[in-house]
Amino acid sequence: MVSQAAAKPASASACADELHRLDSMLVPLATADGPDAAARRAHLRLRQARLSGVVDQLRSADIVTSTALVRYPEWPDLFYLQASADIDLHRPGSALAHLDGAPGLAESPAGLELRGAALEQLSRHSQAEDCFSRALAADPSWQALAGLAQVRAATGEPAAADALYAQAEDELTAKEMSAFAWVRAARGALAADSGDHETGWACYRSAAAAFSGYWLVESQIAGLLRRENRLDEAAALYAAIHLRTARPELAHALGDVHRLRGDASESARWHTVALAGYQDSAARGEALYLHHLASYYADVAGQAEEAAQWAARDAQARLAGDGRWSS
Amino acid sequence: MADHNDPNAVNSIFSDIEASAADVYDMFGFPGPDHSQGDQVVLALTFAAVPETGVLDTDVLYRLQLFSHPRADVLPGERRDLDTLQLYIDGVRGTYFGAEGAMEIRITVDERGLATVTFHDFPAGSFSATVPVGEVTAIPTPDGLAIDAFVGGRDDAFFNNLPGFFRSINYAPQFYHVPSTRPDLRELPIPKTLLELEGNDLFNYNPAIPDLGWGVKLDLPPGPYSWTGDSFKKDAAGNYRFVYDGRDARAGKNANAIILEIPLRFITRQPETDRIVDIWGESWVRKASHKVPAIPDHPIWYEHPFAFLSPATRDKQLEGYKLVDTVGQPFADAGLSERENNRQLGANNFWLAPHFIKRLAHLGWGFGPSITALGLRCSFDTDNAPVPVHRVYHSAVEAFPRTRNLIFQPLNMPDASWDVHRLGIPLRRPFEIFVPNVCALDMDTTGTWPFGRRLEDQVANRFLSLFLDMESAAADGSRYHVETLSDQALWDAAPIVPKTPPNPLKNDKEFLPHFPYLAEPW
Repeated sequence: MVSQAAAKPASASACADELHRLDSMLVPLATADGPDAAARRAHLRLRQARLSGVVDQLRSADIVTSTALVRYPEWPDLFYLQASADIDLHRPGSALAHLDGAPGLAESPAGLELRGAALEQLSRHSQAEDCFSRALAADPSWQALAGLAQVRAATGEPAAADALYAQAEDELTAKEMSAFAWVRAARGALAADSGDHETGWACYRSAAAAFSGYWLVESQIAGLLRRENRLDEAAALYAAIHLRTARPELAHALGDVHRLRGDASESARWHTVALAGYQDSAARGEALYLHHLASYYADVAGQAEEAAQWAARDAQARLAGDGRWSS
Repeated sequence: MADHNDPNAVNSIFSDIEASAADVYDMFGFPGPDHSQGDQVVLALTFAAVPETGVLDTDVLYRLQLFSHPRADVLPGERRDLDTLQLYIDGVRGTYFGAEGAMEIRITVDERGLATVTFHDFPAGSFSATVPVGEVTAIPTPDGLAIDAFVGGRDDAFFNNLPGFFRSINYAPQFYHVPSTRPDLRELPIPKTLLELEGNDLFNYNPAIPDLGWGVKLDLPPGPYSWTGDSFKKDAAGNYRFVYDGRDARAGKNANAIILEIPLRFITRQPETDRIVDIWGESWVRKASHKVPAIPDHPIWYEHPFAFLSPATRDKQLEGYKLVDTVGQPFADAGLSERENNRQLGANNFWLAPHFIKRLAHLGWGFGPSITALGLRCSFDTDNAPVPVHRVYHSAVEAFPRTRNLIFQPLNMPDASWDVHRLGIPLRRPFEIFVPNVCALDMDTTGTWPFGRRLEDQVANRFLSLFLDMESAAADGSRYHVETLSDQALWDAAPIVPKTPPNPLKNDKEFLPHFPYLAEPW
């Protein structure tokens, strides 16, 4: 008798396998009608987009979700999914509004987790902490623990953040390896940010071993390579991830690496690619890359005034959708 | 680099629930027919056939726990009150709180299809054996005995009209797609009932959609989700419509199983006096951090000192796993714990006792009027309510008076054959059955439920019989018993369609007369 694990064919990566699995789950839903099928489609599309890292997939999933919500406004899951997509696309104000769109959603444990994430994007740390804490009181999920860890990290408490991430890890099983990789990568980033590269590497190695081929983990590894001045390796890795995802912030990082390598022309080429991506996003009316535009103008172009304008626009855009958070 | 990594970007509540190898189905326990090594205990844990029948998930650890002790007496003059119940719970709590005293067997399967069966804390010591999946293997013990073992795929030994049960409790996910964000819409606030309610269109049988609940699901329509009617539904001939139809929802379906036949004297050094063997099962899924070999051991003990209080963290192997599901008594989970994850406590379900009282009262207000409408005597005090009532209790003290007889009544058996040696073994009462949540096998009985659980027991009908008044006698002196609802003659005479016992009376495949007892898989 041979177990399924042994019989499984070799594949490019765990992430590729998962994306393939999500594809196959979408097939029977393609012709299914009704709000439940619409919500499942939206969920799978969002999950695909997150795992693939392809921004156009995220845009497309956002459209699938919002279209479904317009068609089935009575289905609360779609409000949840839309709020979740809002957070991915840096629309925290809109996320808060959508969480209020279905009765009881904002106060449910899952709703509180999203609410906390939205408030965290608005840098309202104490309110975010309150949401995550209430979610944890009702359901000690890894998401709420990780959310609270993010608050602790943002408020300058890396040890407390790491302890919470460790608790989040402890909630995850072998059936949730992508989530485990996410948490491990977050711990790696915490360690690397504090100068503890050894721990950072250990975390990234285990994250990559747990769920191979995950762009998010790989981009953080590239970041640590850059910190350690291993510029050729960083450039190669950034280029490889960019090839798969076309994310402009990776082009931006790649341009930075080439600048450090002293290759002005490659640096300019990749910065141009990044800027085009950011501007395309801004032209679509997205908030997603406004903060990147600000940092681009501050750090690459050296245009402080332009940077300040984009930063202000970013703050404004994040608040859009819920006037309560205007200040 | 800015933030694109919120935790919700990775996962969400919408992780589609797929069949899981950690979903434990049933715990069977009965005396084995082979006495060549003295009395033998047969125990069988069944669980979802995932990844497939006969192939076990290498990330799951199954844990069987056993505890043997003498049979307890019934106290003379026992009062039927909450104090008595509390005394009982306090008494057994000392036995089950924590893992001390319990022997256990752990089973994991590796990529080669070999099962490692590890025996812990038995009188003869701890040891392990490797057995091939799908084959009957004799495991020699350190004290010279032999344990028969089978790990692999079998026909699912559960025969049950599950859609009928879910119809009786208005459990929407069996029939409808329920929004994941609305767990409050799973068990809808409609009175529980055994007979269809006039106007309960969400759950009454719909001839236009005959397979609704049998694999067909609709999107949950907008509310209201309550019931405002005042009568049972009747057909033109005046018959009630049963929410059950007697069909076997598990017909033709397989399970994976761990089946062991163990000499009683391997379990206890006093097999003559330790005649009760409590058995319960658990599934544990490997933690993500233990899935990756490169990851160093997680130093949980200094990061989370509170966790040190948990038995799991005292155990190196279990540190790498997360408890997912437990099984002891049938219906302790589905019927009484409402399938809530945070109520997966295993044997240590003492804190649930008040919840059981409230839940039984809630069910009683639903099932009681159905029983009396059929002309049967009910153990639950409904104040002669003519139709089911949706009543939720927040206090066990408030609920207890109505459930007093239901909880304390001895459950009559259909005849004396269960008491094999005619020892006058006391009949069991519901409170003894469900707290603690174990299969308490009495080795001087046949092991038929509630004195264990035999494969052929129709436990769902027996569970429903709790709501029958087994203490009052009919005019002819007869009393109800645990098989009353399995009596076809009762249904033939009742004003009801379809005329069938609620659940099927036989499994879809004949059980085997010898080890491993469960039928071959489909």
